[in-house]
This record gives sequence, structure tokens and C-alpha cells, in this order.
Amino acid sequence: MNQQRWVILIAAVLIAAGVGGIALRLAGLGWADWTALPPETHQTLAWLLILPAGALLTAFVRTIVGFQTFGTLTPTLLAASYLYCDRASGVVVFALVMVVGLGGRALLGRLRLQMGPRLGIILTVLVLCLAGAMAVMYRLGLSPRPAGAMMPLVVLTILLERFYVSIEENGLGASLRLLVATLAVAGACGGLLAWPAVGRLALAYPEAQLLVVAAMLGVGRYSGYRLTELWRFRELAEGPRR
Amino acid sequence: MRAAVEKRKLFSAVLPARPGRLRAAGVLGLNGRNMNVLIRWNPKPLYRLVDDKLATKELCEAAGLAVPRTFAVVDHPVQVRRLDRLIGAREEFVVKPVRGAGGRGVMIIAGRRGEDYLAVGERAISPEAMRYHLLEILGGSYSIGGRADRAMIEQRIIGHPALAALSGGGTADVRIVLYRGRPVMAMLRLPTAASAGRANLHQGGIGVGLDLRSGTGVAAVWNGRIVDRHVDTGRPIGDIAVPAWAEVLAAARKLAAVIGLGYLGADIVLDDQARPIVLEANGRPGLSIQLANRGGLMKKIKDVDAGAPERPGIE
Repeated sequence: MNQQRWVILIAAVLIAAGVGGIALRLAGLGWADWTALPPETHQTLAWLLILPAGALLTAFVRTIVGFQTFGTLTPTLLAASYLYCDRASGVVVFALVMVVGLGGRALLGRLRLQMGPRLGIILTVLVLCLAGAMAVMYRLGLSPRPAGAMMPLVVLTILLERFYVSIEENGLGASLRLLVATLAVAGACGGLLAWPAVGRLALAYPEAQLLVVAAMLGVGRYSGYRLTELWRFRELAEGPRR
Repeated sequence: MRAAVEKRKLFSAVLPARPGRLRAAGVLGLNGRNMNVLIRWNPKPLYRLVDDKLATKELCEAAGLAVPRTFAVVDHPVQVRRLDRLIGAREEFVVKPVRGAGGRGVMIIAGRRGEDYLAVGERAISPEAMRYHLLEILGGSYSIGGRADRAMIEQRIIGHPALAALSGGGTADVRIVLYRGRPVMAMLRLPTAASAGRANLHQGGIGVGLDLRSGTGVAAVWNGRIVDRHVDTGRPIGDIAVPAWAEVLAAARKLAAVIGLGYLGADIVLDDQARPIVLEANGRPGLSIQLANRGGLMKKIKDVDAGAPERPGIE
């Protein structure tokens, strides 16, 4: 297995460089890192720098744990799209998209449109709902942050369509499992992104990215059983049964 | 020593099965299939031959393998307006996406009632609904990767009576997994009351593992669990036998040779004359067949790699 050797070699180099770099910094021999940039850029930079770790987490859940999600990068994207949202409006936007979107999608299904326009109409309805809700909130003297709703809407519309199609193809139970797994991984990614200590680490130790890539190489070459397969194939296990 | 035993106990308390035991049973996992088998034996360009069912059919016909007759191919939405041109007065036919996966988007029509088409299970499909279904196929709703697709209208194979008796309404098919051209595992897929005429396992079909030498049932899987009786009829799995088994195996071998994929699932039905008809080939066959056979695929793969002679009685 030639690639296997290459992967091990590259991973070893990455780990050595990563650990070495971090060790040098800890020993006070640091050179430039991202904290040298103006403080107002720190938050956005930290979020950007944590995204790869989110992708790693998703890959881990999919190939080693064995829970499937809607899309490979969707959980990370979903988490990222919620960054400018406070928790309350995030939940409201999600509930709104799910209820209005699924209802609207079911009604639209009867009109038998092609997929592009169908998604467009759903998005329009969601946008109008959200804009309407904001208008009402302003009238009530509350001041919502419109920027917060912008990103999740698009990602959620696509997630909604996939969920709806999946219900038709795989049944409600399997689709709910997929949705829950996607949301759980997105939640974990969100936790990573919102964790100030992780953000500081990402800014102060650029070498950490090398370790993330090394871990991805490991996950990417993993050919053993998934955790869920130990359950799926348990009836085939050799040896005395418990 | 004691520590090792304790550790083992702790392990088995947490895990449903220790990985070592699955490995001992030769179970092939998804990662193992993708990383060790598919990368090595299934070159990417060859997938075109199995992902495009019309391409598969062409190859089969050239090699003298029987396939369902193609009545019409729909590649443009305009054609959908003229159902009479596509379908005519046909009573029985099957609508399929050319690049579909896992039985999605397949519609089996078993008769007509007035304007309507009757899908398996007496479900009436209006001409309007038929047009929409065709448009959905063209739009890529059922295709691999969601890309635009074509629809094909083809002959409905009347299944062999011995197998029809086992499968309420729908058509049973045989899935044979071949490794480097050699059959390594087989399974009879039976539609159930729950699967609406389709034999795909994840849609509620039953998978009956078959002894490769004789074509008789050894065990079965339904909804991910091993069962030893047919869920609808209660008939013991051991009673099931696929007729013309030698011909089915021969067709599967020929299909694998024609396609050239080293790891391939051949889907074959037996028609009412007990002739094997190739429905499709699959370049990434699933792993539930192991449950249906109560055995691991990796073991068989290793046997082939080690050059173990085939058990007599197959050729």
C-alpha cells in the first residue's frame, strides 16, 4: 500500500511540525501569530480558524462513529451561519423555517414544480415571514438584529428541502435520525466556535491547523469498523454470545 | 492477566460487539469496503457503465445477456406531453430513472383503468401524475448526485411463479455479489406488504441469504435484523429455493466480466420461463447481504485473494 506510507509520512511531518511549533511558542520562542492583528479582527478570524476543526468533527462522526448527516460540510456551515445570531433569535428562526417551510413545501408539492423555482418560492415565503416578524418587533419597541437572520435562512432552506425529499425517499423515522444527527453535529461545531478558549488557541497557535490536517489524514484513511456497525453486525460476531 | 479480563468485560459491557469478534467473523464494514475493496478494484471511469442503466443494457445485449426491453427513453420535458407516444396502449410497463440509485423513482405499472395507470398494489396513477413523475425523474430528483437525468420506459418482467408466490405482488430479484469475477455471496430480495412491491432492503423488503452452491435459503434479514421466517407468510426460510440457479450464477458471472468492476452486485430476475434477466449492476453493493447470509464478506474476499479453489458444483 503505497498511499498508506505516504499518508503516514505526511501525517508524521505535520504532527512533528505542529507539536514542535507549539512547544517553541510555549518556551517563549514564538514568532508572528494572528493575535498580532488588530483586536477587532480577532473574533472573525477565530471563527474562520475553527471551521476546519468543525469539518474534522463532522468527518469523525460520519466515518468513525457512523452517524450520517445531511451533507459533509452542512453541519459546519449551519453552525457558522448561526454565529451572528443570538441564541433566542436563532431558535426562533429555526422553528419558523421548519414549521412554515415544511408546511409550504407540502402545499407546493401538489403544484408539481421543478426544484429550482420550488426552492425559490420557499425562500421567498421564509424571507417575507422573517421580514414581517422584524417589522412587528420594531413596532412593539423591540430591536432585533436583522444581520443575524441573514445566513441561517439560506442554509436552512437547503437543509429543509433535503429533509423533505428524504422523508419521501427514506421515510420519516430515518429522516428524523439524519436531521437530529445533523443538528447535533452542528450544535457541537457551534460549541467549538463559541468557545472563547478554543478561539484564543486558534489565534495564538497557527500550528494547531497542522494537527487538524494530520487528524483528517487519519480519519480519511480509517478503514476499520464504524461504531454503529458494531451494533448493526452484532449478530455476526464470532465467539461465545453474552 | 486479571486486568486484561476485567478490561475485556468492561469493553463488552459498553459495546454491542467487540471489533475483534467482527473481524474474526470476516465482516466487511463500510470503511473497509470503500478503502480496501472499491479503491483497489473499482476504477472510477467504470462506474459510468453501471450508474447509467442504458449503458449497462447496451453492454448486456452485446454480450447476449437478456435485459428488459426498452420501450421509450424520455430525455426532454416536451416528450412528456405525449404520453400516448411514449406508452401507447401498453398495459404493463416500468418507469425508471436512467441514473437512479437504490430503487428510487421506479414505478411499476401492472394495468390500466380508464385513463389511469394502475401501479402495483392497485394504486391508481392519473396521466397527470405520470407526467409529473417523469418530469421529476428528468429534473434529477432520483438521480445519483441530483443531476438532470433521463427516464426510461421498459418491459415489466413477469416473475417466475415459484418466486412470485413468495412476494406479495411485486417482483423478487436475486442480488449476487461478485469479487474479481467470482460470486462470493447471494441473496434473494423479496418485496413485502410493507415495501410496496419494491425489493430494496431499506424500503422494507426481505433479504434471503442463499447458499451459493444450491440457491436455497440459509437465513434472512428484514429491517436490519436476522429472521428465520418470511414476515408476511410465516414460511421457513430454509424452504426457499431459486429455480434455474446455475443459469442465474452464469448470468451474474458474465455480467461481471462484461462490466469489468472487481466488486459488483448483479441484480437478476427470473422470468416466467425461468430465464435470468439482468435488471442492473451495482458498483457499490450494500453490506446487509452479510446479515442475510449470517457470514462475513471479508472472509470470502480473502479466500478469492488467496486463490482458494471454488467449491465444486457451481460451474
